[in-house]
Amino acid sequence: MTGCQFAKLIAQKRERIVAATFPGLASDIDVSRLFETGTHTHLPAIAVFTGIRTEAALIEQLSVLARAPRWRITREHPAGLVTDDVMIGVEWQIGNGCASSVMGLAPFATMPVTRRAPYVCLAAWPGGHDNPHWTHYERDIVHFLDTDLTALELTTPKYRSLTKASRATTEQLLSELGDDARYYRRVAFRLQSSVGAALRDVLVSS
Amino acid sequence: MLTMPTTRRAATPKIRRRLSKRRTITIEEFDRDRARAIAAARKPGGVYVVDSEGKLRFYMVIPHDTIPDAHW
Repeated sequence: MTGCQFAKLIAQKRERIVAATFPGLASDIDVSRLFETGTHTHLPAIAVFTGIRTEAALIEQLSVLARAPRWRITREHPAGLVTDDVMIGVEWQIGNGCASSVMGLAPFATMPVTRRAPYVCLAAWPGGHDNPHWTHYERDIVHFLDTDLTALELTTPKYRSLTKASRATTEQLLSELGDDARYYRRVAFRLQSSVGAALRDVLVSS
Repeated sequence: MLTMPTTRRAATPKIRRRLSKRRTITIEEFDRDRARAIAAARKPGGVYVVDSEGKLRFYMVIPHDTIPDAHW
């Protein structure tokens, strides 16, 4: 469940995403192959890990990615969030000088409601700063706000109204648990504090 | 005398479903010819990427259908 109105519109277009399903522990190269395909096709890429059922299995997968030079797994400390939960960021080097800040989705109760999904997923925009409406981007990092939305043929007023509606819907979805979307700008996964020890060798301090 | 009802066979013949053939490429082919892999992923049913022993590495698809509004 997402409040993002752009995701909703992208879903209504044909050839909107490139997706891959990984039945077991995936090698970093295979996940990179998917994201590279996203770069080549100029489409957002989504990796679906159908074999991951637990937080421990997710950490095993993140450990595999952390050992590879194109991947960076970080411990995040969002300002204003007081919690024992562990916040994890994931970045993938695109090859154009930028890293993509990867979004995580998972079927765990610790995840924010807008990031819950039946399977663990890694989703990314593997392109450049291709959204002309988004001008406050960070030079070396791209994320979903940088997605090329040309196919949606949005005027500036329409883009603004969709942004406003996205913010309002997301805020409403998160409000029940006193949560806030700004905590998750760089966070892919929010996991229980008990996984902290297992993550020690995986995480890089951001 | 009581008789138990018997199971009746359907009057219409069963429709034989043809098993769809999996579109498969090896990981070596994927790396050698990315354009072909992308074209295969665009076809209905996507593409299964396997290693040299035929073991599935991942299944890739560029979907052609749209996600209904109710999913969001």
